[in-house]
Amino acid sequence: MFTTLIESLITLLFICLPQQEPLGEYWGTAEEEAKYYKMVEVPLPPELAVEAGSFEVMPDKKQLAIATRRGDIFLVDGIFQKHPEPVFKKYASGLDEIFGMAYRKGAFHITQQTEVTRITDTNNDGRADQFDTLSDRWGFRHYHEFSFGSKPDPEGNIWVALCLSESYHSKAPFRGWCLKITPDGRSIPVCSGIRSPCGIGPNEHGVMFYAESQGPWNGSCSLKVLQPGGFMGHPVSFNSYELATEMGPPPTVPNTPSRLEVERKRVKELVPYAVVFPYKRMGRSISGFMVDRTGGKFGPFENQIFIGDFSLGVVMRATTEKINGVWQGACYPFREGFDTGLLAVQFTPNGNLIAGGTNRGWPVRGPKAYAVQRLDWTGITPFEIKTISATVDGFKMTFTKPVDPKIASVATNYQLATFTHIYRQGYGSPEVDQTTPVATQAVVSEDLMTVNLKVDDRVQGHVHDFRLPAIRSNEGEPLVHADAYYTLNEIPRN
Amino acid sequence: MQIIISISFLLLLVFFSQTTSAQTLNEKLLIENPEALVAAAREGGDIVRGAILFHQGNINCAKCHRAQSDSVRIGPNLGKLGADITDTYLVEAILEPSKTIKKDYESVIISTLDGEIFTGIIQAENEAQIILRDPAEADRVVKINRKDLDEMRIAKKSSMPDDLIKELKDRQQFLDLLRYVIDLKERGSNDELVATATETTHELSSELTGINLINELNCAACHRPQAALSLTNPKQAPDLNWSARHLNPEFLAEFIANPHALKPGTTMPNLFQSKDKSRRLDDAIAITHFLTSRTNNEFTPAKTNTESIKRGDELFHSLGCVACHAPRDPTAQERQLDQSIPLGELALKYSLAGLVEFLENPHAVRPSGRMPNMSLTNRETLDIAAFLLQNAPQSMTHWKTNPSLAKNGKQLFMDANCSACHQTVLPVSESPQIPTLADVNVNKGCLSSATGDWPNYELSDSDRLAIASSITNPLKELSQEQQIAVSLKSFNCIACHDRGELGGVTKARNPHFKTTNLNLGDQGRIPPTLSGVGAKLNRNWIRDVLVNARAIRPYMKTRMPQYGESNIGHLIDLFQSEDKLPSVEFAKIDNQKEMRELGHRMAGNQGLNCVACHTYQYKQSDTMPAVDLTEMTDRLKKEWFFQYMLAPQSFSPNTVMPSFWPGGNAIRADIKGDSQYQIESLWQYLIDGRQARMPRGVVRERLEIVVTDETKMLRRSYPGIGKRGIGVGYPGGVNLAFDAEQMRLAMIWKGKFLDPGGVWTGQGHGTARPMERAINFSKGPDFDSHSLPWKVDDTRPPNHQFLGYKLDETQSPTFLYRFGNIKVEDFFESITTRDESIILRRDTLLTSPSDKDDLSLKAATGKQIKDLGLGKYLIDNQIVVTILSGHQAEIIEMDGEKQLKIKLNLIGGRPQNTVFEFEWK
Repeated sequence: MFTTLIESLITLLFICLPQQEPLGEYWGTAEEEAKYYKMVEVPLPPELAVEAGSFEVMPDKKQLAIATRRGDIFLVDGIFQKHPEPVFKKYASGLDEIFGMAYRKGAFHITQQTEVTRITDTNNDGRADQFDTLSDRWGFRHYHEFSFGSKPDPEGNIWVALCLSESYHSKAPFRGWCLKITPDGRSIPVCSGIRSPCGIGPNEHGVMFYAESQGPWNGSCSLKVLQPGGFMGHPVSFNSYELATEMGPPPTVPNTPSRLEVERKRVKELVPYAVVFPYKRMGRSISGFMVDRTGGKFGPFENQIFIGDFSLGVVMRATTEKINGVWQGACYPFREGFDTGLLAVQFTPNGNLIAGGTNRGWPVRGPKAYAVQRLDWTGITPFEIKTISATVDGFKMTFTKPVDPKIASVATNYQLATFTHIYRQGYGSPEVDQTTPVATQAVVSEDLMTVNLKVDDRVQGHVHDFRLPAIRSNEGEPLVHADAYYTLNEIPRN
Repeated sequence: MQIIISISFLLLLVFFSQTTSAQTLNEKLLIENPEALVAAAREGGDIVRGAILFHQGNINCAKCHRAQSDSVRIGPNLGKLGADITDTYLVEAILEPSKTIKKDYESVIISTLDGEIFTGIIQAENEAQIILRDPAEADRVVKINRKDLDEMRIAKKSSMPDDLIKELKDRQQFLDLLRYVIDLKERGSNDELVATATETTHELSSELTGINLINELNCAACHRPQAALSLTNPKQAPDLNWSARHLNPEFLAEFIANPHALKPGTTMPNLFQSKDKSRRLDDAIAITHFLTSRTNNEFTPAKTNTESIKRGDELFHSLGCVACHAPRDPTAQERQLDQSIPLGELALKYSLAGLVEFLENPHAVRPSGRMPNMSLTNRETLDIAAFLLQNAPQSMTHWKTNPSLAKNGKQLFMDANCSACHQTVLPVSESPQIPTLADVNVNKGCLSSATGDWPNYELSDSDRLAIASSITNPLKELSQEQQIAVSLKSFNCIACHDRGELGGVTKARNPHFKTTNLNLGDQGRIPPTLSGVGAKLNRNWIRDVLVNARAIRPYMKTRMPQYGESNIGHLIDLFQSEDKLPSVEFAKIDNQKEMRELGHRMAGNQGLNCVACHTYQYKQSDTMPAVDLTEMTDRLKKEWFFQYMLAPQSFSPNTVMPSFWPGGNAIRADIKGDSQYQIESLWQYLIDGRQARMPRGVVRERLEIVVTDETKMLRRSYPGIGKRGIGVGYPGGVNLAFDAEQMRLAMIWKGKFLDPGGVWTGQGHGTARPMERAINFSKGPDFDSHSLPWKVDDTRPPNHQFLGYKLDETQSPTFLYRFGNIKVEDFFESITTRDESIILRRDTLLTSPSDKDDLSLKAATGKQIKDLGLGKYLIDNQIVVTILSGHQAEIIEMDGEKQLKIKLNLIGGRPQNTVFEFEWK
C-alpha cells in the first residue's frame, strides 16, 4: 500500500515535469577525435561503486584520490601508468555526496552536501581518523540542495556553490549562493542568484567560475564568473540577503520574460553569463571543469578550460576573456563518447585527462552506471579552432595548425549566426532573436595560424555561432569540429 | 451406516493427506478436475505472463516446442496439434507427460554392442544408420550404425520431464501457462509467418566470386582497374615498415621465399617461383635486410605466463576470434576447421609487444580492415597474445642488418614490384608493361597454372575460372545487393551474420558463439541477421554500430568488430537504400498524452510486462537482459517495430519474444484499443528514450551496508532527522543515528545496520533506513540549559555548533560539538555482556572554560519512563537506561512526553564524564 502510494507520488512528480525532449544527437566525430585523443579505460574493482564526484592528484604525483557520490574517498595507485591497472585503497567512507576535494598541508579538504570538512590521517595508517567541520554555515533541507566546492584559491579559501532547494525555491539559508570558506573556517557570502551548479573552479586567468545548468532564468547551460557582490540570475535566493548584511540590500528583481542584455541594464548586480553552451549541441548539463596546465603535454590547448557534461558524456573546451570589465568567451566541441555521465575532470601529472562520474538519477547517454576513463593525447595535433576572441571590428580566430591561406582568406567561408535566450522564470528557453552577421574580410596571418575576421552586424548579448566547414589546414584536412560558439556580452572599444 | 462413516473418514484422510504442505504443486494440480483447471485458466489465466513463462527460465517450454523445420523433432509444434486434442488433454500432457506420448515423439533407448546407451528421439533412419536427437541438447545429434546396434526399445517415459511444474511458483502460474498453451493451440501454427531457416551459403554467386578474388588479391595494384571492380576497397598489403620493426626477420625472409608453405591460404603471392629454392631464400633474405635497414628491428621471442595464457585461451574462444580463425587447443595448436582465415605460425612471427600493438590497432598495419579492431583492452591483448605466442622459441640469434645485402635487397624489391601492393616503403612507380585488367590474357601469367616470371597465388582451378570469367565477361554495374554481398564477403561479416541466403554461423563454428544468459536461447549468442537490417535500424544507429562499436546485447560474448569507417562506411547507405518494408498504417494519434500513459502501463507488470525480460535504463530484469527499452526508438524504424510486434518470429526465428498481437489480435483485449492503437501507444511511450518513465515492475537493486569487524558510518538523510544525519553501525549489532544539526542521539536499533537504497539510487531523494525497527528519541539538542532549553523546531539550535568527529582504532566515532563555549565529546560503544546481550554505552565528556550550572543531558525520551531505582529507568517498556557515572536524573514531562534528564554542573577547566547505557529489554 505504502509502496503504491510512493509510486503514485513519483508518477505524479514525473507527470509534472516538463515534456521530455530527446537527449541530443552525437556530434559524429568520435572516430576522428580518437586519432588525436585516445580514450583509455580504467578498470574498476567490481565490488566497489566508484561514482566519482571529484578527483585530486596526491603530492607524490603517483596516487589519484577519487571521492564519490556514495561518500567514499579512495587512494588509487597505478592509474597514471600507460595501461592503468589501478589498486584502490579506501581512505575514508560514510560521507555525503562529495563534489569537491583538494589535498593541502597534509589534509583533505572536501565539500560534501552538509559541510566543508578537513580530513586527516593523524596516525599515518593510510586511513582517515579526524574529520573537522570547517563550515556548515548553509541550510540543508532538501536532497536536491547539492554543494559544489572548489579547490582552494591562492589564499586557501574554498568557494562553495550551493544549489537551490529545487529549481524554483530557496527554502534554507544561502541556497542559491556562493560562500567562500576561509582556512580558519569563516564563511563569507560571495554572490547570490545561483540555480543548480555542477562544477566550480578558476578559469584560465585564475578567476573563480562555476558551471550553471539550464533551467529557470537560464535558457541554456553556462560558465559564469562568481563575482563578489554579484547576482547570478535566479532571484529566488534574495531571501538570504538578510543573513548577509555586508552584501547590502537585495538587487532589483528582474522582469520576466525578458532578455539578459535588457535586464543587466536594470539590475546592476546581474552578471552576464560568460560562456553560454547552446543546449544539446554543447552538452545538456555541463559539469566539472579544469584548466589545462600541463605545459603542452595534452596537446595544443594549453591554458584552456576543459569541461565535462553529465547528460551527454562529452568533454568540451572553453576560453574566456575580460572585455570592458565583463567576462565572456567561447566554447568548442572536443571529445565525445564517454561511457557515463561526467561529473568531474582532472589533469594527471603526465598530462592526461581523467574524467568520471555516474549515470544515476538523470537521463544520461553513456551506458555505464559509473566509470572512470582517461584521455591521452596521441601526440598528433588535430586541426581545430584553437581560440576565438572579440576584436573591435570582428573576431580573431586562432587555429592549431597552419590554415590553407587561399580558403581561409575568403570571408564567405566563415558562416555566422547569432541568437540569444529568453531570460525568464520558466524552465529553459528556445533560441530566439536569430540574426545572420556577415564576415566581410578575412586576413590570414603570415604564420597561417591566425585569421582576423571583420564582421558586420554583430549583436551584443548574443551567442555567435561559427560554422567553418570549408576551412582546410595547409595539408588539406578539414576541421575535426567545424563549430564554435562565442558569447558576445561586450564589444571591445578602441 | 458404519461403512459410510469409514468411507467418509477415509475420504477425509485422503483429503488431509493431499492438502499437507509436503504436497508438490504437480500433485495438488493432479487431484483437481482437469476441466475445472481449463475453466479457471480461461477465466483467470494471464496469457501474457503465460507467454513469458513459456519462453523463460528453467521451464523454457519453447526450447523444445518451438517452431522449427519439420525435420527437427523434439517436441510437437503446439500450433499443429490437430483437432482431436482437447484442452483437458493439454492439462494431462503438462502434468503427466508420459501418460500419453504423441506419436513420433517417443524416446527410444538404444544400447550398442560396445555397451554404450543413448536416449533420444529418432530424427531419421535408414538401412545403415539411426540418427538420434537428445532433447536435453537439441543441437546435438548422435549417429548410430545399425551394425553396432545391440538393442532398441521405446522408452516408457516421455522426453518431456515429469517435474517441469516444480519450476512454477504456484497454481496461478500454471493457469497462466495453460492459458497461453490453449491460445497457441487455438491460434494454430503461424508457420506462414515464421521465416524457416533456409540453407545458407558462404560462397558468393559465381559472377561475384571473381570480383571478390580480384579485390582480395588486389590484382588492380598491378593491373589498372576497371570501373566496376573498384566498388569495394581492395585489400591492401600490410605496412612493411611496421613489419620490419616488429616481426621476426627470419620469419619474414622465410615467408617471402615460401609464402604458401608458411601460411597456407595467404593472399601474398610467391614472387620468385621461377627461381630455384636456395636462390629464392637468398633473395628473400636480401629483401629482409633491405626492410630492416630502414628501421630498428625490435623483435624478441615472446615470454608468457600460464595465467595469462589461460585467460587468453578463454578470450580467443569467446570474443569472436574463432568466427574467422580456427579454434585452438590449450597449447595453441590449431584444430582444423574449414573456411578459417589462416594465421601461420604466430609464435615465430610476432614478439609479444608486436602482437599486442597489432591487436590494439590492426588498421595501423593493415589499413583495409579485413582484420578488425576488436575493441580489446590492453590486458585482453596481452592475454590473447600470450595464448597465441606460448610456443615461442626460447632464444634467437640477433638479427644484424647487412648493408650490402640491403642494397641488393632494395633492387630485388623494386624488380619484383613489391611496391605495387606494399606502398609505404618506396615510391610507387608506374609499370607500363603490365596490361590493364581488361586486357589481361586470362590463359597466361598469374591465371595460368604454368610457372614463370609472375606472381604465383596458388589459385585453385575454380578461382582461376572465376577471375577469368569476371575479366572476360565483366558486369557493367553491380546492383546494390551485389555490392553489399561483395562487402559482406570481403570483411567476412557472413561468418557471424546472414543476409538472405548468404552467410550465417556455420554448424562447425556454432559452439564457439557463447552467451552469459542461457534464458535468451540462441538469440542470446548468435549475432542478429542482416536481412532487412536497413529497414530495421535507423541510419545513425547503424553508423554507431559499424563505426563506434555501439553494442546493446551485453549477453552476447562475441563482440561486434570494427572495420573502420573508410572501409565499411559505404554499407550504411547501401543498407538504407536497399532494404525496405511494406508501409504500415499507423493508428491515429488522437490524444498523445493518453497514449503515452497507456504505453507506460503496457510496458509495466500490470500490462504486457515488457520489463519482465527487457532492461530498462540499464536496470536488468531478473530473468534476462533483453534489449534496453529506452533505446528502442533510437535504434528502430517505426515500420519495423510495428511489424515485429505483430510477429516477432517472422523476423528472428530464434527469438524468445512472444507475440502479444498474434494474427493481428491483441491477446490483452482488456487493454484499450486494437492492435494498431496498442502498438502505437507503446511507441509513443518509448519515444522518450532514456527519459521514458520507469514502468512498474522494474527490479530495483537491493542495497545493505553490512557491519562486520569494524564500525561503519553513513552521513545522509535519516527518517525523522533533517539532512544532517549520521548513521553508525557497531560490530555486535547495535546501531544509532546521530543528528549533526541538533546534536542529539536520534534513534537506536539492534540487529542489521542500514539500507542506503533511498539515498544511493536515483537522485538520492529518499532516506537511509535502519534494517530493523528503531527506537526514536524526540527532537532538540541532548545537552542544553536545564531550565531554559532551546524551544524545539525543525531548524538549527542557535548556540550549538557541530565540529566533526574522530575515529578510534575500531573506526568508532567520537562526535565533537560545542554548546556556547562548552566543548562536548560524545562517544558511543557497543558492549557485549557476559550473558551475550548487547548494550549501547554513551560516554559524554564535557569541558567548560568556566563554572556552569543549570545544565542537563537528555538521556532518553518516551511516552512512559519508570524509575527502577539504583539509577535504572525503563523507557516505554522497551529499553532500560542505567546511569553509571553516579549522576542524578529527573523525569520531566514536556510537550506531552517524558524526558529523562541528567542534571549537570560543570567546574571550569575540569572535564567531566557522564556515562550511561541502553539495554534492550
